[in-house]
Amino acid sequence: MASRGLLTFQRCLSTSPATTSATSAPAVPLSTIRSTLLLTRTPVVTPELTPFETHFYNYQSELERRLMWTFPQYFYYKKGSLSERRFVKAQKGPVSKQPGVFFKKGIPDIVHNRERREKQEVIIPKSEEDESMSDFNRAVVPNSRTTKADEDNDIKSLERALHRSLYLIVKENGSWKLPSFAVEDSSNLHRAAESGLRSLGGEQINTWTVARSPAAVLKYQNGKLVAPETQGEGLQREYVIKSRILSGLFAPEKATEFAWLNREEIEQKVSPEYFQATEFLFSKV
Amino acid sequence: MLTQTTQGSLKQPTLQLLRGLRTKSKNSRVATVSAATQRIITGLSVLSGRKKYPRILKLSNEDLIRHDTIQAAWAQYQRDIRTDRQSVLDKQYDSIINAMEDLKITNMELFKIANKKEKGKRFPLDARIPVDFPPNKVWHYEVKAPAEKK
Amino acid sequence: MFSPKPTASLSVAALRQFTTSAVALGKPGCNTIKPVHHRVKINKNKLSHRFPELNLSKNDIRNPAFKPTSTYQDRVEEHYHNTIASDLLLINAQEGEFTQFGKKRREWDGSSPYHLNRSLRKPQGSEAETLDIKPHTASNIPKIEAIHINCYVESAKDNANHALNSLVQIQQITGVKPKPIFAKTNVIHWRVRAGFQMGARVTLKGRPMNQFLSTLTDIVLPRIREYKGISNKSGDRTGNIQFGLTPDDIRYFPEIESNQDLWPKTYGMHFNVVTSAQTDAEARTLLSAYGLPFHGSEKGTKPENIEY
Repeated sequence: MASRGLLTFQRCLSTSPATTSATSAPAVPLSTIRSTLLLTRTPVVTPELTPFETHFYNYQSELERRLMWTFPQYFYYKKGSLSERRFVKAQKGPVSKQPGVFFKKGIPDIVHNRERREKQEVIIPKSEEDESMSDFNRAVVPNSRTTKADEDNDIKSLERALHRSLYLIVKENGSWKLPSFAVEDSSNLHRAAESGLRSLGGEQINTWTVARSPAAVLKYQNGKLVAPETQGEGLQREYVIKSRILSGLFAPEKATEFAWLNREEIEQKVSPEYFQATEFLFSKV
Repeated sequence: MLTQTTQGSLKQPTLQLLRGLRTKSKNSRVATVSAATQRIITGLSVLSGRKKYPRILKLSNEDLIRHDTIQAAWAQYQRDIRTDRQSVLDKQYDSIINAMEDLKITNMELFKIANKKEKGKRFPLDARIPVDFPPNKVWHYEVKAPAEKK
Repeated sequence: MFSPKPTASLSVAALRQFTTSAVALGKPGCNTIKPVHHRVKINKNKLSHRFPELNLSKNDIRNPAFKPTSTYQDRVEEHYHNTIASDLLLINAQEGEFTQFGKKRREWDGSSPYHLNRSLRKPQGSEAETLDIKPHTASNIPKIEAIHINCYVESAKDNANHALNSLVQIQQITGVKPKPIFAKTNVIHWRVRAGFQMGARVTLKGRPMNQFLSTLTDIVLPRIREYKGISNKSGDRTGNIQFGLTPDDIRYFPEIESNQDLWPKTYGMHFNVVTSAQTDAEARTLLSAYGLPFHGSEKGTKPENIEY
């Protein structure tokens, strides 16, 4: 698998126009430059609401319903039709005003079969379900937002934490970090990252590079992270290329440890210095 | 006529009935609207609030204060979210520019390719906007076309 | 007892010098003070003390026109902020950017006395001025601001009912109350007269806009047969993208489709997506993030080089 990835890699190079000028003396040897891949699985479902948001949306929608115009039933259900009869039957009609009757909750104010002082409850008549109904007619049963991968806490699965952005991190030399690849033969950061990913995790992956430009640079001096503004001799540089996984999976042949984690989980796994240098890249949602 | 009605109690109701009947012309004036026109009228009445308005909302002072407090809290919450988002974007922007400037010093070739504006850049159509509930097939593991064209 | 003199002398000091003051002062109706014409129209309803609630802002719950806006989680907006915005920042940001000044109107060289007070020359190589393109930073990430929907019904010149129907159709599709459009001038060849009601228009913003966008990209466009996408040539050079749908395409909107018998005739419409992008190319990148497809060749790019 790895050799095939290398072939693809070389094929890419042969068509690249910039390879010829690789002989011009660079300021820094290419061996000290690596291309790091920030591979994201974007959220599949909407973010979880905080209790405040839930309550606020509920309050606002109740207000909206209270202030809504009466539902123009005569527009959707033709007068005298069967559907109209079924619709009218399904409604819970308001209490009408009667002479000489005391109404505890105030005198009813009804126009067009709607109690004007309250929100209107429109009930859509349900059709009886049977086996002959097609999928189109059948009532929608929503799938669970938590999957089996969540229950098993399978951090290698792409189906976990559907409401969060997940990022691929791998274990290299005993420490967790974003996967990074050499740029030695390449003259192209984003291609080095993408082909490196395929040589590591197989060809069965469909990704989309967000941009050719790096989102960040990580600098190491003697194997230790230093500030990204540092200049000088003996620096190892890692340029972070941002990419999205669209389909397929990351399945390394070698016994590479990897995980798809969200921001908080990454904070637990990686070293504090590494997280501090990269935290702004990880989405809070 | 008058004497007849006052004297003959049986005849009076029949006369009144005749008088009370709608004449044909009046009746037709109501019913002359064609089906197509009626559909237009019905459609326009959907757009109009006439006879559809609910009662005006009247809040007590306590309710008004409660409502204003909720709104103020929400506005503050949204403001916090906005400033938080912007600070993250600012950090990302500084980081991008710093990385590019560094790349320019480090390797001009890599820089030229990285800093070139991509023409016809498109987001993939496979990338969907998140939905409330996951689809039946959460993830597609089989790759249709090899993503070699990069 | 009538004594005009003392009152007149009093009011000379008290009265302001209006155009009509002379008559009030018992002088001949001729004066040298120029009449004041109010440039700003005064809404006298606002001056009335009768309905103070109507003068409050529309956000205020005491105003009868109050309508809550944030009634549900806006998944499209949240997706933009959580995912798209930072990606767009990375796509657009470049090192060493500076403001590219657009084409502006030029001064005359002054070789002729007639150049004095003459309006400026048109820009070089362009009929109209073009906008400056500023560096792409974290504070000017492109965003969809509004969608203008315009539905001009040609057949409304013969049958005014079509124009009325188009109003209802837009309301059904968007859930927002549209405004009628009227012919501005007589166009003899089209048999259109000024004042004819010719269709409907509406501007969508915020939640209704996002709702409409997701209906369009998730339900309507995928079902149109042989729909290629929005043309890559579309745009007004300032980052706004235009496209249209035919009357048959409109039938795929769920509100129309589930009430087929109500809609014997549907009306096509034009959409103008207003974005804060500085160029059309950036606007297209932005719209593609919402799932809107594009086709054809973009200026300066071959269609096969556009990565989807």
